[in-house]
Amino acid sequence: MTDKELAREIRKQRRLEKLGTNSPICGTCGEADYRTLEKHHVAGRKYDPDTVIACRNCHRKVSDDQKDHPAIDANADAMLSAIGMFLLGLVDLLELVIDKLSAFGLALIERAKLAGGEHAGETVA
Amino acid sequence: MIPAPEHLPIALRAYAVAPKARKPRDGIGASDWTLTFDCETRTDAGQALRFGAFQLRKGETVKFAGLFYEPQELSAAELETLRAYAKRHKLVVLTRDEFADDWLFLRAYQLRARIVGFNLPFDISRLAIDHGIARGAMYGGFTFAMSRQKFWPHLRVKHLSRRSQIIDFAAPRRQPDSRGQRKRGDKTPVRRGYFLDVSTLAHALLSRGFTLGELSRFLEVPNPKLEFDEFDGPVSDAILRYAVRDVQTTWECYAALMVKLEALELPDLQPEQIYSEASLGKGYLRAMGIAPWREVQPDFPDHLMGALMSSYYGGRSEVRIRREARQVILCDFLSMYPTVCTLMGLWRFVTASGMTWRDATAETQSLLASVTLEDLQTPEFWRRLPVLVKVLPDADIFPVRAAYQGEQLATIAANYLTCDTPLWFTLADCIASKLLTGKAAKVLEAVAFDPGPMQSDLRPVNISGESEYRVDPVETDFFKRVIELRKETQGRMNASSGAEKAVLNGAQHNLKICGNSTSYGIWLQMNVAKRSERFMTTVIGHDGKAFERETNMAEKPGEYFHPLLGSLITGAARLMLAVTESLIERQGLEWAFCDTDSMAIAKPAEFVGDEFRSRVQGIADWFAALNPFAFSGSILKIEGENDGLETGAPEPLFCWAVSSKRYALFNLGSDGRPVLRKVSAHGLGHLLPPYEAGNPPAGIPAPDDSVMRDGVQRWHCDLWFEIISAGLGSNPDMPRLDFHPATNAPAVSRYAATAPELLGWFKHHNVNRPYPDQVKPFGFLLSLSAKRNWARREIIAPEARKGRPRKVSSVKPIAPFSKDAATIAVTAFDRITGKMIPASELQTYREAVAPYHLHPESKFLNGDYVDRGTTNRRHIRASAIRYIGKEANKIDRQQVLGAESELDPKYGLSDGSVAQIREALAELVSLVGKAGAAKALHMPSGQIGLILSDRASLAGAAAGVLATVLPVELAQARRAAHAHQLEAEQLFLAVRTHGLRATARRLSVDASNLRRKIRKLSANR
Repeated sequence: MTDKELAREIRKQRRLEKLGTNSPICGTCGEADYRTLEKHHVAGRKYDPDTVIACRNCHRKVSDDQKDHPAIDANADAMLSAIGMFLLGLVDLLELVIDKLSAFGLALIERAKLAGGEHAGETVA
Repeated sequence: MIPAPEHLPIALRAYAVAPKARKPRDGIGASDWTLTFDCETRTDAGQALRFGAFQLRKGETVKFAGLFYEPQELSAAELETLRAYAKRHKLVVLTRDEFADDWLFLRAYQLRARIVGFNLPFDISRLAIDHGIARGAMYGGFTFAMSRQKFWPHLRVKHLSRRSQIIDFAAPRRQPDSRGQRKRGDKTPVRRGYFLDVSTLAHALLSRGFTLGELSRFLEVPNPKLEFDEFDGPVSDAILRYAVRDVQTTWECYAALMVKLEALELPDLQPEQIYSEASLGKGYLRAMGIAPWREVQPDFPDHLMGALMSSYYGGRSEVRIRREARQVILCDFLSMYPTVCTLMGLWRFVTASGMTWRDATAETQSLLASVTLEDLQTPEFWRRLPVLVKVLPDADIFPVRAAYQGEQLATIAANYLTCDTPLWFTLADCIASKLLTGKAAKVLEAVAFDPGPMQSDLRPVNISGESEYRVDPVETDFFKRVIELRKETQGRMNASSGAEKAVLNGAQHNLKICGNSTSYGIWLQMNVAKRSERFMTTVIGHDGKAFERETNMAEKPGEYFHPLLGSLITGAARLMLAVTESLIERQGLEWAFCDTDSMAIAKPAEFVGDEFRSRVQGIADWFAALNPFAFSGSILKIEGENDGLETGAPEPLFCWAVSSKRYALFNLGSDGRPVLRKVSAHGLGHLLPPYEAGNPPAGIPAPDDSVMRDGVQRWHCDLWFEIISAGLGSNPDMPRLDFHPATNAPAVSRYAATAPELLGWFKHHNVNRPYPDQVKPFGFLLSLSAKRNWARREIIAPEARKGRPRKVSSVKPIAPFSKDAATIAVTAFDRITGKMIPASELQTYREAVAPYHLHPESKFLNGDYVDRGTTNRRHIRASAIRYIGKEANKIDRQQVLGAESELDPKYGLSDGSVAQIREALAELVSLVGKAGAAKALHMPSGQIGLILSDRASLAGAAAGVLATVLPVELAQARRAAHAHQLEAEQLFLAVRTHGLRATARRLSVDASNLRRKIRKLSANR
């Protein structure tokens, strides 16, 4: 193991430690390269410490969506506000998942068509 | 007949209020890197590092393997040998500093590797360059400096038991959080590391202790440990090969154990978190999604918690026929704790979201009034037992925990108990008392417990990861199912052979661990942590009242702590023994001893032929109706020891029992000599063997292999052979103890310096020695004893002295580790004074075991040293109640180094007892005066004054003396005062009848003096 490899391995283990798992994966798109993965505060960092793992792309998207969430009144009930923001954050994540699921479903149908054509060809042959 | 009461303080478990249960943080787990290492040391007392070997692996693949050495410990030639060996075997060579900095920290620490070793604390301590006392949560352990670079963290080791410890990295000195993180309050967790001691994991998974050699052979790894014993020679290829192989063997054992662990399918269980079988039990409960009781019912009322804890007592272990050879049949209950759990339906409580309770006073009173032995033969009856009963004991037979006959530690025995204060017992104990005394205890209150609704999110678990061993916590009683599965697997195993048999044996073993680990210990697990400073803790007593006590022992309940289950399980087990005792009496038989789940039934002399066996069989058959399992048969089994070794057919078995857990079972050979079948090593296991099995004494036949199990060694068997032979002969009190020349050597126990205070014993030895020569943490120490007569000579002061006699503490010899008896004899010193002790003053094996065969059974009458025959229950009148925490804390240390009562948490006398003692003391002083009371109680009158004026607390020895002696002295003083009063009345009568002068003349006293006396007496009337 060269010094470079060792340094890279140390970076990897430090990252995994930060992510809190030895096998991290983006919860929305399935990306599993530890270098692209980050922790996303579902409700926003100000409101709740709970995080999920998201890749940089997805993280950017949901963080951007968070900017559209309503501003919280400083005198409002903190717990209810946190729950509200958490639910909104969850919706953002689920929207991404829905997009992904929909793309995945369509891709499967497309693949099924192709596979059906191939099988039909085999039968004809 | 009930004997006269003896005043004795009794001890009850109290509940030290703990913070609310928190869910343990889920760790990420180690990466797939592993660092395995082993150190080779000098063989002198310092056991300093010479060299070591290591492997760094990623997954299964060895990435690097190498040797490291301590430059100061190897000569140039040795270093050359080491380098040459490394070159031939493509190993890297590092100094100790390089290994610590570049491999332990730069790689293992940074890569989050699992650090693996066999007996890791010892190796860590060898590798360290300095040590100190750990702080915070690891107080009571050691902290080790491993690197000269200050940015690397220290390593901390805290010994828990003989086979387990906590090891972690301390927090590094540098600031781990960025300024932004600190502003946000986002704290980076300290990287604690992943340390795995293969010895600990093996003990938990295989439920027995191993050396590395034994483990490698047991697991049949490809590269078992090599045999080697020339550790004090120069570094050679042989020792290097041995060291490198040790690391490979350790890794292979680790890998084999990990396969076994993964097969259990307990994904939440990190191998580093396994400390014992109990960890596996908790892993199964977690796998089934069972939430701990303290989490689901955090608001359980304190008064019930106090009652529950006070009703807890351990199993019964007693000797009834002492130091007499009696024919017996040994009977054993089938998996006692899982069986009683099943009978009482306790699984409902485990899976419930809390429990409810209701008043059951009337129904309990009526049940106790009517219950008979036959009622207990119906399994349904046992489901009524989750009841706690508050009774006013009046010569009832209950478990009594007390320091009998002034012993240092309290022990538990089923004795007659009378107490003015109501006490809580389980309903099972109350029924046992009814069976044994024939009368129901006076019930003041009873609380019945019912399980709450079942928890949601429970899921089935495959034991051993096998779908055929699937247990659904919702549908089935886990305890019952596990026992049934094990029985079924054992049946299949007996009918199979070869590889299949081995697989089935592994499966039945896993089932056994699963059953045992979930059916008792975890419900009453209490972790005791010693703190550096004393603090106030809130304690709840048996009466439900909370009080504050100062202590330095913090008791923290285990994850699945559930005191109701703990109390009920042991209570029901004691009831099983009480039922057996009643049946024995009904059958006209006797019993020699009992031990938690077994009883040796003794044959009365008048029985002839097969009558004895058939009656015992009748008793065993009685329990068939209580079998809650799917398979048939009785839950009371006649053990294999009752059958002959050669024939396998029933053969008369004899018993020689000395005291609790000290007994031997034997057959009689054709020559009339004993043929040992089972012996106890209790009370002997702390001593190193004076000789090995390969060097046996002449004239003592070798015991059968089946006897040498559970830690029993050859010399234990030989000692028992001599004790029994003497017992069968004409001089039972004088067994031959010089049966081997080695019994004349100093008696030695081995223990490691596992705690700072133990290492402190070597401060005189270590002073002015360079670090490598000093005795270091986890280095082995030898504990010896001084000859008794020598100690006594010291205690008697040679010349008359004025004032208070000089306090002479007993001599406590220890020696640095050595395997050589001659070296031990010349290096022993007193750990208190540091003075050397000559070999002639050290107790030999022969002297150390001399009282073994006479060991008193203090908890019963007729159990003193030379007493023989039937022991009788004592009648204890509770003179005070003192509260204690976890019993037998650090039991391994107490077994080897002797009982140290300060290791157990203690919470002092109950407030009621303190008030009672003060009242009684005040009365005694009023009757006999302060000086008289001081004389009677053997304590300074000043102290009595302080106690009475509430300026001195009642604690420690003074409390024990007062609680034991004061009631007796007070009764005597009352009797004397009464007699005095009667005399005075007679005097008044005489004076009234005959006049003052005539009475004075009759009594030959001066009339004026008599007048003064009468005036004084009249004033006191």
